[in-house]
Amino acid sequence: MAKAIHQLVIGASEGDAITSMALKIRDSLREYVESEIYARWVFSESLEDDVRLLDDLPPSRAMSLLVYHSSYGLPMVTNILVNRSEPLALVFHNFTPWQTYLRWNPEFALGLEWGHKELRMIKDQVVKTISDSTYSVAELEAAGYDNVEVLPMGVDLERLTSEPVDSARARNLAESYPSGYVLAVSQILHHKRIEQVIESVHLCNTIHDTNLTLLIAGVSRQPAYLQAVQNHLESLPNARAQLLGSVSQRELATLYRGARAFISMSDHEGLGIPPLEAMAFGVPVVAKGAGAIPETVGNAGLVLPSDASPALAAEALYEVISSEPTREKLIAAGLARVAQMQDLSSHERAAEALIGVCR
Amino acid sequence: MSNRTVQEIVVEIQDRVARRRIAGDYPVGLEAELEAEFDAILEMTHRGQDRVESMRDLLQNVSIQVERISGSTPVKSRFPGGRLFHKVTERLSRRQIRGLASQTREAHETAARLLTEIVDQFEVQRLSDERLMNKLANSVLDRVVVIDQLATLVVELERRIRVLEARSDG
Repeated sequence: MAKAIHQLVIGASEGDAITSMALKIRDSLREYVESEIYARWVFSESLEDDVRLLDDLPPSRAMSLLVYHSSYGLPMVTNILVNRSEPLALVFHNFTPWQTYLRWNPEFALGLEWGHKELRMIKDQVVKTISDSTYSVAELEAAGYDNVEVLPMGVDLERLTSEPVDSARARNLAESYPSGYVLAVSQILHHKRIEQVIESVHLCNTIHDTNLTLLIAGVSRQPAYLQAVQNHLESLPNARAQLLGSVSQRELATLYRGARAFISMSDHEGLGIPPLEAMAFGVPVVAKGAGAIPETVGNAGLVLPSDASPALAAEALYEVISSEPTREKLIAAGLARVAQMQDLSSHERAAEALIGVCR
Repeated sequence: MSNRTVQEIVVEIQDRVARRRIAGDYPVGLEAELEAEFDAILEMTHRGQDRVESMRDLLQNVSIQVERISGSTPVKSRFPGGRLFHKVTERLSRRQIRGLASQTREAHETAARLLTEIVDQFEVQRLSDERLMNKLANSVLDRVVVIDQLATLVVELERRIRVLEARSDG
């Protein structure tokens, strides 16, 4: 009988893809062994019962396996990891390129850069490596890892699609935005290039007179970048953009249901769950093909080159809202792609793989 | 449903952008201009807000540390009888140490008040600069609008002259 299998994440917050994934894996693991989640930081009060602080992590002798979710490096966490004696399982979510943040948030950039070093430092303790996309495998191989299992575990679309329809809010959206709205679902961070999303909708409305509104749902963690985005959208009024901040599951489902198109101009995605969510609701996707996006979206969305400009995104948006054949094609392909990804994604399979290590 | 593949649609869209660029809808350099504009905004927001916030955080830390100056230290000791010795020493010097702690706290509180004042002034100055910049930008924009109107009038005048010239030639 295996001893406990616990998971370690750097920061836990509600709605965060890695935290949600860890919670699902924990629930699956609990069918076999004792399992908890530990984090250096717990940002959401609602998670206090679900996520414990790193200081309370039990000693190695009480555990069969520690599952470490890697997406950012913290020297104090690395120090804890290298000094533990139980085997490690690495769940790799990829690192945002640190160069993006060097100028605007050097502390964050250092953490991202440290993540690469950490991968090499803990390599010999790792007995199982899981990556959530094929795109991320290359990074792991460069750090000396082999036998990486690809499991896109964060895909839990039913959580959203099963949300009941909020008729009052849906009516309110339809009345407020008679020409429709484009939806972006993303944290307000530099590498998500929210400014380019705003520019794209601004150009689409300016050139094609489409009168679309841009709704951006997602939490902001960097006040100065948020302020810059707000200033930028003031200077581009044709984008008719609104920052909604963090939204509930129900609100998010309602927003997806009414959207005419989904847009992402992110420069880096380790997997890219929001485009899949949009496709699950039959919303055509326009996305810059950066990071794992081409792999995740496949041919089910207008995946633009990784250096796509706002002008190209503006024309792509116009295509998906004005061409019925293109819309129909993307909606059908999107639903098929979602079904395919859901088959691939399984928290149970991840839990079984982790239990298998301990046998 | 469209018979075109997604790749074909993307290529068509790229061609469309190229054509519109030639037509002037998406002028050459548009993206670079937008990026430069956003960079300038980033410079401004990072220069102001983040630094003021980090100064306020530091000040909060100073205040917490100042509150913790008590002059008392643990009397634990690894040596036999050490605890008693420290306790006695602490009792004998308590009055002087507490007095010193109180003076130190007062001095730090004065320094913290001064720093708070500086940060507040910094913020006031930043907001005032921002207002001034907005005023200047607005007046520049007003003049640009006038110039734009003049340019339109010149084009219209040229058009009329061409019509008149064509008539006189005819």
